[in-house]
Amino acid sequence: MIVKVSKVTVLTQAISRREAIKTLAKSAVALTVSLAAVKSEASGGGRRWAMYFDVSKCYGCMACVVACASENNVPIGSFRTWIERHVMGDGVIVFVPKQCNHCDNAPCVMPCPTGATFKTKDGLVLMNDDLCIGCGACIQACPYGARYFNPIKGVVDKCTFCNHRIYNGLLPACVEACPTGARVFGDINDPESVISKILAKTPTQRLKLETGAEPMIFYRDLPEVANR
Amino acid sequence: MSYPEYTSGYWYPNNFAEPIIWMPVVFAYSLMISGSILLFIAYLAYILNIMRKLMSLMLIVGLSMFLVILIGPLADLRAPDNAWKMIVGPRILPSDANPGFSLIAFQGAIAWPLAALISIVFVLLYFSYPLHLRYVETGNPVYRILSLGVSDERKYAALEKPLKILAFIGSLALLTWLVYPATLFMQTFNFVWANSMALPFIFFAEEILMDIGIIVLGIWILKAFKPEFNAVKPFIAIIAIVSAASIVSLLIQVGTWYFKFGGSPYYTAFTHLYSFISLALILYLIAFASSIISTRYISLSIIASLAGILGVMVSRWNFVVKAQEVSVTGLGVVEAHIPLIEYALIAGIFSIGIFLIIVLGSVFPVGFEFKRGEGL
Repeated sequence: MIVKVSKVTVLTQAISRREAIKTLAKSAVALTVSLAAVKSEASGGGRRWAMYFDVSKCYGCMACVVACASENNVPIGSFRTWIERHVMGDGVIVFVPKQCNHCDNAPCVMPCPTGATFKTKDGLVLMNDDLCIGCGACIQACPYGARYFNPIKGVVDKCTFCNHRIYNGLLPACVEACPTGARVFGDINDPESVISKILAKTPTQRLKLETGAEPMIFYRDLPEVANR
Repeated sequence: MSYPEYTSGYWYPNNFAEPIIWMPVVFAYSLMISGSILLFIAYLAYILNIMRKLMSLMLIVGLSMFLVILIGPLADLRAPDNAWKMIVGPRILPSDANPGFSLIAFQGAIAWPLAALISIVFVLLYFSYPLHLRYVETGNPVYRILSLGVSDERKYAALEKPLKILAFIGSLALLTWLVYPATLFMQTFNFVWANSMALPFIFFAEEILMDIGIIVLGIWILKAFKPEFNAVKPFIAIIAIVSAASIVSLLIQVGTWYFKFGGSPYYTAFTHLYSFISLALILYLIAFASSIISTRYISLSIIASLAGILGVMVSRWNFVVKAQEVSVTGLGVVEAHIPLIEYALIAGIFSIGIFLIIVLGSVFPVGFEFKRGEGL
């Protein structure tokens, strides 16, 4: 301990004021650059998973609902994805698939008291079952009704965009099961992805934008009656 | 293929399967929260040197209710074995993975323990000398331990300044509990809560009504043992004012709903609450009228306080339980089935609070007043 103190004293005497300022300035620049790099990495900078629904292609076969339930062991009575049936004024029936929107500004993440609900750098909103206390605050906070208590796991559950599949080169189960291609999944930060190309040339709508949640599910031909 | 009729309106299937997420939590919690306001009033009164005669009653009732606040939320957790994780590692600071600020974590893991600790220390110090006198009177060593060695008036009088500092810190720690309905507005998406701008005023007025009602009932109970303890009168006017404020704020809320949503399909979501609002209004009117009359016939103040407390319970059930029977879309209403066990849980939570009031009320000498130079 004594040796260390004496070394510091010697060092202080050896460095002139100009050198000290130079060193400090260099350190500050290095720190700023490295902090910016860390921030850029944390905010993703790479992938941003999203989904596109072409409502005009959905005919309510429920294949996606069944595939999801089967793939993810969704308990009976709960849904990670579902299809709403709306009858328009002119008698035309429209089917609207819905699920977790993996929002950019997810309202369900903020109230979680333990951090069990979190966002990944690729934009997924996921659950850490080990941390969930089952308080239900996230269920109350979700404007889309996408969360539920899983009675088997004893914690809150939701769509994961099949994160166990997508990082292994597979599509989410619901997308793979859709017989009409009404569901398109991909990375919207990749300009060459199918979803990016569709979004670039198709006018789309998103659900409940007034909540400020910034949902990442894009709809084509979404009827206003379903935007509630 | 045939499709069923959606008789309950437009619901998301997960919400429809389980419309009521918070049951004993919000109801029991929103009533027990009155304890925090009672403590807050007691601290302010101590700092301002007023209502000293009622200080001990407010402290005991307030502390008893405040200590059991978290039992409601804990009783409703689906993964209670993980509950300790919120206390040990609350999510307070935002990060990239967890942006924002969890009010629940802050209230449960920081504000509650802090306020509870300060309140326990305050109560022990406040009652220290009276407990010593009780020790002298009975010879029970428990009172001696609880008196913390404050064995004469001089020492007790010297506690005045530290107690004022403690009361100031305690009132700050209780601040987040006074604005707890903020959790409902800011961090949930319930259709009724999100569209009830008068709710903070309604809750605040009702909490004070609940507190004053409990104090008046407490005074009457104390009066049965100490006939000279006569302190009801100042509270009669407060009951009248606060019940009137509750009536006005409820009517303003109903009017706001009507002007904003009247004639639209969303309006049914609010009419679902009207039967209970009517009942609460009747009870508040009874509280108001009987408090006015009780300025002449003082025993009517019991009816005023009971009507006030009942009105608050009806109104709270309405806003926290019935409001959850409304769909997140605002276009559907169900009559949810509430299992009997939930009522038992609520009764259990209140019972623990009442049990604590009885235990603390029998250990600590309630109803004393200390005046410097004059003593107890």
